[in-house]
Amino acid sequence: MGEEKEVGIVRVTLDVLKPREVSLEDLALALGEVKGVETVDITVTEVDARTETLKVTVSGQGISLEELEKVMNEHSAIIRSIDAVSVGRVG
Amino acid sequence: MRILEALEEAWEELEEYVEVTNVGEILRRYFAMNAFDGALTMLGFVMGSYVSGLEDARIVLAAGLSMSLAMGVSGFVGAFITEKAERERSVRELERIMLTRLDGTVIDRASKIATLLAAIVDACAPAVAALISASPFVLVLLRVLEFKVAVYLSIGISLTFLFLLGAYLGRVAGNSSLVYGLYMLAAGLATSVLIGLIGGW
Repeated sequence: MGEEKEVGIVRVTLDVLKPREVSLEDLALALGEVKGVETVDITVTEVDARTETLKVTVSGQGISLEELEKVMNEHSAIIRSIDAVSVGRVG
Repeated sequence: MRILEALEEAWEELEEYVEVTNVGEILRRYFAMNAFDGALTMLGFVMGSYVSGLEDARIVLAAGLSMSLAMGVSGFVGAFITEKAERERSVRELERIMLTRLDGTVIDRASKIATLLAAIVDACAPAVAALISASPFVLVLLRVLEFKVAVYLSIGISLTFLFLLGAYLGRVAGNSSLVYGLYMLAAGLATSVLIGLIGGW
């Protein structure tokens, strides 16, 4: 009998607002550095005069939403809502 | 190796800030405007000293250095306060739109760095331009040049500097460097002629 794996987030889709000045590439790369993250997909869904609305999909093993939020905030972006979450056995 | 890595990291961060704030364009503008001010002011001062019969290199240098320092301080304080006000306004506006505080985030940090960069460029550009124009008078003090020769040399350096500044702006504009250079040169020559006329009168 193997050790029971823990349940963690493997995929999350976020609705994010960021200033236009902040580069998409920098934000994506910073999110990619977060522990447990394997891939980051960002799609711009709306462009306003000073801001952009993004659909951010992060996949990986045991993703920490808190860490993602921290990185977002450091890059002047805010999570407006969590639109989808997938969890699974990780570790 | 660690120092190199830290420097590389700091440089990358600075590049990100410059990109976020789009400060490169503003720095270019500040540099050109204020270097122009510095060179033309020094040209005017040297011409004015000469036509009014002043023949003491120490006075020209002392006054020139004081003028450079004053222009530097004025540039730093003026640009710092102006940029700070404008950038803070922009961040507050963004905060209103995003319904959040941006203190300590990349936008906030980048704005502060941009303000400092603008102030440094605004301080150095006129001071350096003026010092370059005043440099021949050091050679007079070292008894390498005669005062009159230093005056001509200083005027020549100022006019060349103005031309090169114009040429640089021409390149920035993606236009003719020669035409832009001649615009700047014309401003320098017009100043010289005006001061010459005042001296004659």
